[in-house]
Amino acid sequence: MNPPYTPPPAGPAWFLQRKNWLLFMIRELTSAVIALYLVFFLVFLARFGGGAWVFEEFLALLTHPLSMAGHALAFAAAVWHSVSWFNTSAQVMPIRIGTWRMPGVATIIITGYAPWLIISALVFWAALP
Amino acid sequence: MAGEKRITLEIFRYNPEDGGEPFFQSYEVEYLNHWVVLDAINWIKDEIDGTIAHRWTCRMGVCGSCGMMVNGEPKLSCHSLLRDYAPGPVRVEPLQHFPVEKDLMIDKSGFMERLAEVKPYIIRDDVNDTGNGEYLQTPAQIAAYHEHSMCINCMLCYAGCPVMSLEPAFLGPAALALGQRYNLDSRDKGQAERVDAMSGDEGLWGCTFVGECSVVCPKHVDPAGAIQKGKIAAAKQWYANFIKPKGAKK
Ligand code: FES
Repeated sequence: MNPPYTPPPAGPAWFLQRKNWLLFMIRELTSAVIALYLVFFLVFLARFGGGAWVFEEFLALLTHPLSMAGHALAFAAAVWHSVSWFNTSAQVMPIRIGTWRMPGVATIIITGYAPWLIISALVFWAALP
Repeated sequence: MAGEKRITLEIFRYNPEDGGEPFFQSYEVEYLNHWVVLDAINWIKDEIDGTIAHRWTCRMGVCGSCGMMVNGEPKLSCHSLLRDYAPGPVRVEPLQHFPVEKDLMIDKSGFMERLAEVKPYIIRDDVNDTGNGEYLQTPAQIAAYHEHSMCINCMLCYAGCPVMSLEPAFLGPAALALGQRYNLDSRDKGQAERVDAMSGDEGLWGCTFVGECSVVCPKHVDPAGAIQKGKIAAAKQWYANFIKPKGAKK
């Protein structure tokens, strides 16, 4: 008699098997894009002390099509990452008062989208000339 | 002749006694509008091929024994209407991430061992004798863990969790949710006894929060939510220990 049949182990493309596994993988990969962008940004920040020409170089780089595409990608990754995490907040940190549990949508708005909107508005306001 | 509509079921077959490899066998079924996948398998077993092995008991989503992959999704076969899969075919396989004993029957022993690891029972030193009555709870204390206590051990969450195949030693969603269910129970004092099993890399921290376990759970136990709450509690405990003066630790 044979032993129980053991299914083959997962291959490197395991996340393509199911839609939610793929969405998870995209969420994780967006953090790598954000990390790369932060490295790029921090490198320039660290060099700013080198003189005005570094800042000029940075500004010139920002208008380069590749840089603009990179920024668009980093922005899209940051939005995707933030939204996908905000949407989990009702599961991770349910708000409960006695036996009443706040509906998931309200929890997501209060813990995620509302602070995001307020902080973004403040940053935008502070950045205005 | 069972019904007026026809659908084909492609059933995973594996027989450890014939030494062969697994294969899919097709059966055509005439079904009634209210039939579920389990009805079709039972009909095939009764009328066409009595050698098919599968588990079921209650036929009403209570016992948790009829879990299978139906068209690639972990499902209770007694809760999966055949008409939703028309015109077919319907591919029926044993639950993913488990060894297969025969056909649609998985080997549950690893799952049972995992459940035991989290000590899924109320632990406390001061055992109440019956003369003192029950340990009472307020509705709010029950609400803190109630959803996590609805598990029927159907193991669909293990089939939905990719970590189970990437990290085979992972305790898995149902066991961790069950441990967390007792940790959240106001009557329980056993958190320290569960911490070794639950807080390691093979426990709470092995979970990458794919969240599919909660999506496929037929009883809305929300294992993913229970695990994340467990991570927050474990992290808080770690910081509390970290900032305590040395002599006060333990
Ligand atoms: S037969 Fe009991 S849950 Fe399906």
